[in-house]
Amino acid sequence: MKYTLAIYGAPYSSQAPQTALSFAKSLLESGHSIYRLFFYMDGVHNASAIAVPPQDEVNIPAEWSALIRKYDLDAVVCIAAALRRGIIDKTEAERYEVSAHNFAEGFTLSGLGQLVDAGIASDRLITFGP
Amino acid sequence: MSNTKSLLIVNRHAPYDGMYAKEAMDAALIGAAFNQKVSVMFMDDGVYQLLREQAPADIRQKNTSLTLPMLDMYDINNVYVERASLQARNLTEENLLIPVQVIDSVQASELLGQQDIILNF
Amino acid sequence: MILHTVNKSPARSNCLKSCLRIAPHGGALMLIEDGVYASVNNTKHSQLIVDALTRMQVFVLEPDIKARGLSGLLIPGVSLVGYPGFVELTQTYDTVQSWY
Repeated sequence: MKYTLAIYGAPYSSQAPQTALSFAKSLLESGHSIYRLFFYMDGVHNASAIAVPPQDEVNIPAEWSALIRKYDLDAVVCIAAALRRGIIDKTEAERYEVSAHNFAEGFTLSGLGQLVDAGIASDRLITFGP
Repeated sequence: MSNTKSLLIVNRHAPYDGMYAKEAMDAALIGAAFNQKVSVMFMDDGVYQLLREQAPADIRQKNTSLTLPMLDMYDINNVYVERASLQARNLTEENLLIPVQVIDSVQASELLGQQDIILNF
Repeated sequence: MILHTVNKSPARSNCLKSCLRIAPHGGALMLIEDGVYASVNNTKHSQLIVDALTRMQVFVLEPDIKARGLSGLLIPGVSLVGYPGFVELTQTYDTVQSWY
């Protein structure tokens, strides 16, 4: 089956990203596929390239990047939600003339239409609320 | 996109609790623009999104209720409110800014059961 | 049929109550994250799950139970599942409604 996972929670303030990660790994290991990961609302913080948790703690953004790379997943971060919260890639940083960017490898900034599209195209849409 | 699916937007959050109200409205309008069969349901504190005379300027927020008439403009006519949520908040349809269909919990359950896609806000 | 997930403690949020108001007419309940506290026996909130069990299956996510030290405290009749079981349930049911 084709899944879309919508992640609304930020790492370290919500368990949602970890639940979604474990769920994603489990479904991929059992032979199902992920049509899209959609990071929304505070979930956009999962796409930070510059999170540096202590070494004995889980680095959730890095785990997402690794999973996205391993399975070549489509990982979309809602652009409006991200820019509001200071999650920004190089292109947008140049467009808005801000001094830094922090967008992790493997993710893509795009619009909310990508969530609606994913709902239409997937067999299952699972929301991981904050 | 040729296939039409039924899409339900579930609103359970108060209007100025994060960005839920705005994002839910955006999702509903996008669903309609994608030619999906869109319904919107308000329950729990989400019913407060429908109150008349919201004026959030002093808390530096946009008035999300002003966009509610857009639902009708996008031909989203299936707007539901759960009766128990209204009653628990001492509200009736007369308190609400747009016409809605008030449904009981059995009907809400059926509504959820009919959907291909449920988006939660 | 719908699989309802609840991720908040019943002491903190009305998610579970709202879910159960809508859920009785078909479907199953999956408690995850802090939602699993609803499955602890003989609490102020246990009756919600005891009643739910008369009309639907109630699943709890085992890693969340173990993490919180709740293994010996559960209401009889709730079913423990791991992540593979959770994934399987999302296939058995047509849609997943998340209450958070």
